[in-house]
Amino acid sequence: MRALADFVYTLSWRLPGRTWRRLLAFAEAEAESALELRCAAALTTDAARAARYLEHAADEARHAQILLRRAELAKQAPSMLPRRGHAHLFARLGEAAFLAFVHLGERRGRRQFEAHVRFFEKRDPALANALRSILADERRHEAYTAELLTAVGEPRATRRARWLDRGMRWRRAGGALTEPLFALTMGLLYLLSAPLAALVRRGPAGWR
Amino acid sequence: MAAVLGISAHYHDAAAALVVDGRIVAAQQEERLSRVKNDPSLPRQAIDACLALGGLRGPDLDRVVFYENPYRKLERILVGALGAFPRGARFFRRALRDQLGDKLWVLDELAAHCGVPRARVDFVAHHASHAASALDTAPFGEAVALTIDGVGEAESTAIWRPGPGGPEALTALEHPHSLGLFYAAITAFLGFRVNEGEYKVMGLAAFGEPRFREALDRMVTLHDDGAFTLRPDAFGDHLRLDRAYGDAMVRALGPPRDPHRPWDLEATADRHYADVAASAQDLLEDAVLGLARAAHRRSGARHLVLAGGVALNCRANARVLAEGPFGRVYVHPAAGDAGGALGAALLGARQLGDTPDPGSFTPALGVRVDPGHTAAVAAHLGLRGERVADPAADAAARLAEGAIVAWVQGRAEWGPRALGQRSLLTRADDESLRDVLNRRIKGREPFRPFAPAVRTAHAAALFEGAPNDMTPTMTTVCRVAGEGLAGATHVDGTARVQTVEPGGALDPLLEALERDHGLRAVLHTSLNAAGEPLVARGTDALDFFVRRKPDVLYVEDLRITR
Amino acid sequence: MSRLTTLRQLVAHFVGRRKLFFVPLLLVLVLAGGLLLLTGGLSYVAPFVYTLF
Repeated sequence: MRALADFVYTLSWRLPGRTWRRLLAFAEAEAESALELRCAAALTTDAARAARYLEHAADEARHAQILLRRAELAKQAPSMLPRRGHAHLFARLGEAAFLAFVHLGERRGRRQFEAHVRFFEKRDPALANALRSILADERRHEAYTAELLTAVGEPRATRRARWLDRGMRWRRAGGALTEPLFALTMGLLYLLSAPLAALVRRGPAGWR
Repeated sequence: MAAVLGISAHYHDAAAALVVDGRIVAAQQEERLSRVKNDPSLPRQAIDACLALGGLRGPDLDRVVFYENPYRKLERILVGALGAFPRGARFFRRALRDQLGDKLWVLDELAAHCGVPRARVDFVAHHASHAASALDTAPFGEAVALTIDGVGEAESTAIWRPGPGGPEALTALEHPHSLGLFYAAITAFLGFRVNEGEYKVMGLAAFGEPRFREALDRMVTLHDDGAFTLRPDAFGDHLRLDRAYGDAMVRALGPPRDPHRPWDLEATADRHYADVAASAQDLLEDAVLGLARAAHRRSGARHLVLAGGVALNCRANARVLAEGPFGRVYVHPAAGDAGGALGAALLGARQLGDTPDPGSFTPALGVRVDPGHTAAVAAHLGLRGERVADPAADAAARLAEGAIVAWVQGRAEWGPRALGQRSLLTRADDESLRDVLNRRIKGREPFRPFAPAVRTAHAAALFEGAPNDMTPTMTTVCRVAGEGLAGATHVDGTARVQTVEPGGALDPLLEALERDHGLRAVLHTSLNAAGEPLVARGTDALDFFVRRKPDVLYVEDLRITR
Repeated sequence: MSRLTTLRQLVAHFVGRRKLFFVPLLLVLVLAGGLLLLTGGLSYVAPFVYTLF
């Protein structure tokens, strides 16, 4: 089972040119997680949990920088984190399901990072070390979210988090499939609209 | 008697603003709450914050007003893409994906989020929103409004006179002839992020000579009547939103700057780019001055109010006041798209029979902080928090010792400038502290200037032309005339000074600095790191304090140290 | 239902602006928009998720 998971998690590292892209995608995930956690810290009414979320956010922001630097090394060129939006997880789910969602994500991330560390141990020890330092944090995050989840205690939280997780996966997969289709449709539509080009006029220069 | 919520969203810098019975009750930018710089998404958190500040629920709203006409905008995009056939294919695909994916449905989404019937959700024109934000918050009447930005629905620039139902358009210029797009192209050419790096271009300009002005004059023609035209091939036919410059610009100015290379203004390569910035700034200032003269000719008004993203160019505003035909000039502090939310709410209030009350405007319209909760969170983070009897005197003493102080007081600012509610402060007379602040705390380019804050009573002695209607909200620059401001003076001898009125957020601190330590100014910058939005809430301030390590943080009367 | 209001306002806008020739194009575009909305073609954010590829 572990061998199969390892194979799936590490498959894309074997493809040429994928390493830096995937590291950059990891960095983005960490940066987005940091935003969600900062918002959670602002929205929770419990001071102790707010502090945990802030500490977690600082970890995620640090991971994003580590992964970005690793992506730059792999690409041999400077790079930038694209600025994207927000999933508003805390506001959408409430605190219990938010914690469940984060816990699920951390657990999955921890398993994947274990596989990544094994994969790079011999191939790229420096990268393996960087990933190992992140892995240690992921284990901590997995544990504290489980602890808080039990304390907050809402029986359906995990189920709600799973549903949102599935929904987001479906939308990402749907997006990946729809993008090319949409691009093609729009390209064709643009060509078919050629006669309209003769009818449109841009506004004149100068004061109206 | 109505409760009206104004919204700007889906371009950059989304925001919400609440006007109740003509009084401005709350205004909040989404980025401050979502922590995504210039967050353009539907401002859900900002809406909820405004409603909470007004003590209302969504269904209590009489009207929700969006700051532009989504249908007219779609029309302009279709006309632009088809007019550029066949080169507009990529633009068509991308722009329509955004439009159809969410922008077109914004009124439906607002109705759903606020829990109001769709019939109560309406829109007003983009530049009318900007004009209302300036006219209805100005400290004087008898004014003409000039709105200048990238592009709204179709207009890029417009002149307005006040009318009983809101601003009335006198004339306008249309896309693609736009000063905002011109400056955006230069911003991208210099390797900065469009809609964000424009300030950096302005800061950089002071380091260069305008030796490319003639080259730029061939790309942007300024006409005698104040209008201007952009040559399409210098701007990529306006088909790229992220790049915005075209082949003709590259031929004239050389290759664009690599965004990843660190700045070194001692090196020839970067002096070249500083000269490009200086030339663009020079052209922009002349263009804005030309527009101001046109507004005067067409209106005969004594005073001018400005809004739109270009009105955030404080050097241009300074020239309009100094060289233009108006007695007084005021700029709405959230002159960019965020400000459109407030303008839309004010226009909606007029439509429902209320008269906006300019006296209800203050830039401190955002969320409050809770020092008690902040202290509890700080304790869990292992930080030391103490309530102090006189935070102003306490902070002044730390400042006098050369500390870097994070200062959080009252409701959050409206607009891009920190105005004393969410500020980073240090001594204004010490250049080495400025560099510590730039590099260590903020992590930004070495050429970025800082601003001084002084009490209004001292402004005239320390600066030429201060105080004026723009200095309270830092929308202009003044030449430094007094001593003790070395750290807060830009390389060209000017400073973007904030004059602080009695009762302002920084007033007690400035008073204590002067009384106890003989200092009349403080160096003042926004409480955020490079690329991050300004801090809003107590937890955001703690997050900043932990990561960026200023010496001390004050949240109201709570002092936090390590 | 609320989206129907938007569609009606959209068509009314182009009719009012005497740009009737855009209306067929708009209808196709709105269909494509519906496809985008259903499949989440604009959803990029993925906090706490490390992509496999």
